[in-house]
Amino acid sequence: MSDIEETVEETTDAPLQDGASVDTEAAEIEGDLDELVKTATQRDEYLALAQRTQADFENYRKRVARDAASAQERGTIGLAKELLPALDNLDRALAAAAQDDPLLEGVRLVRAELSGALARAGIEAFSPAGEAFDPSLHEAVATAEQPEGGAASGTVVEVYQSGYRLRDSIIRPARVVVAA
Amino acid sequence: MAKTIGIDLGTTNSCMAVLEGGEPTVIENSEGGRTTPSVVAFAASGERLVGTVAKRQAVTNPQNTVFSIKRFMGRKEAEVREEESIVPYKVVSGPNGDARVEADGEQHSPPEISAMILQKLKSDAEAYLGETVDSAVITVPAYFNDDQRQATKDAGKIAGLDVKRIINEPTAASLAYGLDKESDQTILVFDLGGGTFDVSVLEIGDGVFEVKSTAGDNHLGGDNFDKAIVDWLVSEFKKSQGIDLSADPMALQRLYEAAEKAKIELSTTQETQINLPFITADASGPKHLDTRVTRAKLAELTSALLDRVVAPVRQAMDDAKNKGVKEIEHIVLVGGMTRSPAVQEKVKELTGKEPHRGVNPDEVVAVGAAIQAGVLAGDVKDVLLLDVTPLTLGIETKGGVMTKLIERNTTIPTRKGEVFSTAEDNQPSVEIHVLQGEREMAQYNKSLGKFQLTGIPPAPRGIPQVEVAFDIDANGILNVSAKDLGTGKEQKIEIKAGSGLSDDEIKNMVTDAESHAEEDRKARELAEARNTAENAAYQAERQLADLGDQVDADSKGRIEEAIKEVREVLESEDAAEINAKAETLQTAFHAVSEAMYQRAQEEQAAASPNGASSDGAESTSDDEDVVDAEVVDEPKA
Repeated sequence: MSDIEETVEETTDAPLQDGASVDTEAAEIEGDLDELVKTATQRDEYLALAQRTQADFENYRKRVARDAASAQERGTIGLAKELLPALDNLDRALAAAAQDDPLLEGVRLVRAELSGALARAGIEAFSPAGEAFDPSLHEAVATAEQPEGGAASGTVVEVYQSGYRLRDSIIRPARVVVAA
Repeated sequence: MAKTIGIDLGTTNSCMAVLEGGEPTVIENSEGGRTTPSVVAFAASGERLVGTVAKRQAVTNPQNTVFSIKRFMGRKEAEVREEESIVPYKVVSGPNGDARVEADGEQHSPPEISAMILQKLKSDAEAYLGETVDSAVITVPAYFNDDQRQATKDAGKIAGLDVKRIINEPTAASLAYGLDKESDQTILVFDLGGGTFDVSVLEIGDGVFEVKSTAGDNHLGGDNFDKAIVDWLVSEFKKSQGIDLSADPMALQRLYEAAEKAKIELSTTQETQINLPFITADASGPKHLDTRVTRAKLAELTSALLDRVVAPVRQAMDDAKNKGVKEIEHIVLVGGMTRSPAVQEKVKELTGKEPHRGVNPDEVVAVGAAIQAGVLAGDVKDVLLLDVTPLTLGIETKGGVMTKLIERNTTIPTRKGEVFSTAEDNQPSVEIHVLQGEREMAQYNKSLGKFQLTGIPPAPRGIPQVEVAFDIDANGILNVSAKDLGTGKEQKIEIKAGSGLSDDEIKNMVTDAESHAEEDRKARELAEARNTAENAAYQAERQLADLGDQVDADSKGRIEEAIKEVREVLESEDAAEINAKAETLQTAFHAVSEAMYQRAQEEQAAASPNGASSDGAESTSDDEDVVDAEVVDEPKA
């Protein structure tokens, strides 16, 4: 009995071993395959990442080039913004002066000189009295009831403060009163 | 590839940002602004206006200009009666009791109005980025309930955005400061915006934020502070001039502008001047407003407003404490008003902690939302976290000077090369001594390695060209190569994994360099003066020999004397003295050169080009082993 048992054991042993080695091989191949799939996935991920980064960079480069081109304009606008309140006050001073004051003419010339300097830098003032109110160019400070037959509703009836623009950019909208 | 952006959809202003190359960038709107007013208007022409343009026409069209829509998001009409009474537009009850805005003869749900703002942001972002934007992360206050969050999500959908996530504003602000990388920390976010005040306490664990408590004041913000200043200016003017400026809209406008400007200026200075000439006029003539405002005065004017933050902060801290929060570790400030030193003082006083600084408080929420958007889109991956070199890398050059090739904080991988030359005639080899550190002189820096490049053919000093290249790969491994451009001979060294220095050591080396900056600069100047002088003597001697009899004995004697003096003074510790002697030598030589050329001209003979003056700027060394730092070529990028 014991012999038979042993034989049985032996006979069962051998195929078992064979099976085990096949299994190991299969497992190895499977492992390799997994590794390959993992690597491939990783490769795709990295490629996507590289492409995304490249695209980001291309767009960034374009924008930086654009920004550099407009940098001077921004600088001009920045300086103009700081100067405009002084110009406004000069206008207020001119408006408040007695018309027969001999000083007035001189100050007016100074004002003209300043406007000339701004114009040479491409900066223009605009005063939209009588025009239709346009919020892309004007800022409404107040509305005013109009007498019968007065200005049509939605027209600029008074300009408190001139607007300024540098070519297509609005440096400051004109501050206006709009007909109600 | 479509982008995901981060949007801070605010009550008063909105802001958007995007992650580019791992860095958040605020996106400007089409008018060039970094924030966009959260205002929508329905113009009489049927046009729909959003942002700055809508704000500018508000006074002409108050019933159809919608602002503060956020206050109505996801709310029942019955809950918001108080808000309704404040806004000039009409709020009605919709079919299911929801608050609706009636403008332009139609009912608009709050999500629809918000969607109009989001649509503008989306198209402005597309114009700015040059690509489509199809999704977003949008922030909401921490106290928003499910209905309010859903309404915000709906707004995004209506605007054509796939809302990847709705996140809390305080969480976004914390993300902007990278606090998600901390573990088990408590953060108090203090958000004082244009019109609302929110305070939240968050707890963070494993990268997840949990809101522990929130409190706030729905009607407290920067606008109140501006108004306090304007009210004071008006009352002062009335006292001194007897004129009420509050009745004049243009004067008021100027006062508000001046108040805001003064408020901002007083954040950095102790006092400022409010100067409004021709503010008004009466029978006696024009009137001017000219007032000095101190920081103390501002604090006094706004102290009542400032006191209103106290109770909510205490409440939020107490509530958090009741939920087991022991201590607040971080303070994050949000909103333009938190730039004010008085506000910062108050926060410090209440919490006992210094707030985080660095990110613009108007933009911090949008920046955090963009970071979250980047994480969700897969832009933020560990492999992308590029390292930087913690310390400067370079080589030793003549006179023991450290010549820097790769500056500290350079993002790696990187490569940089420079061409050097020899310091002596017929120098057969050069030694490349690789150094790391911030000090100007080689001896104080850490030596990473040395190698020789041999077999340089005999040539006068300064003639051979040796290209030294530093290459650091993504793993921080440094390769240094030296190549004789004449013979093509090359030598290299590999230095593994950067420095092996701990963070503390790196910090020490940096601070060390800072504290020795002055003496190092002097040492370097001295070394450079010596090199320059030595080279001048060398060149003069050579040219004197070349010229032979063309130089008269008298001049020759003078130059030889000057050379001798230069050599005598070389060991001096006084750079100025060395420079003076070198200068004397050069002047002496120039005189000879000039005389010689003049004579040559007189004789109408062609001048010999090698009679040119010595070049004092060229640098040299006595040390045979060390490379001359004279750069022959521009660094290769």
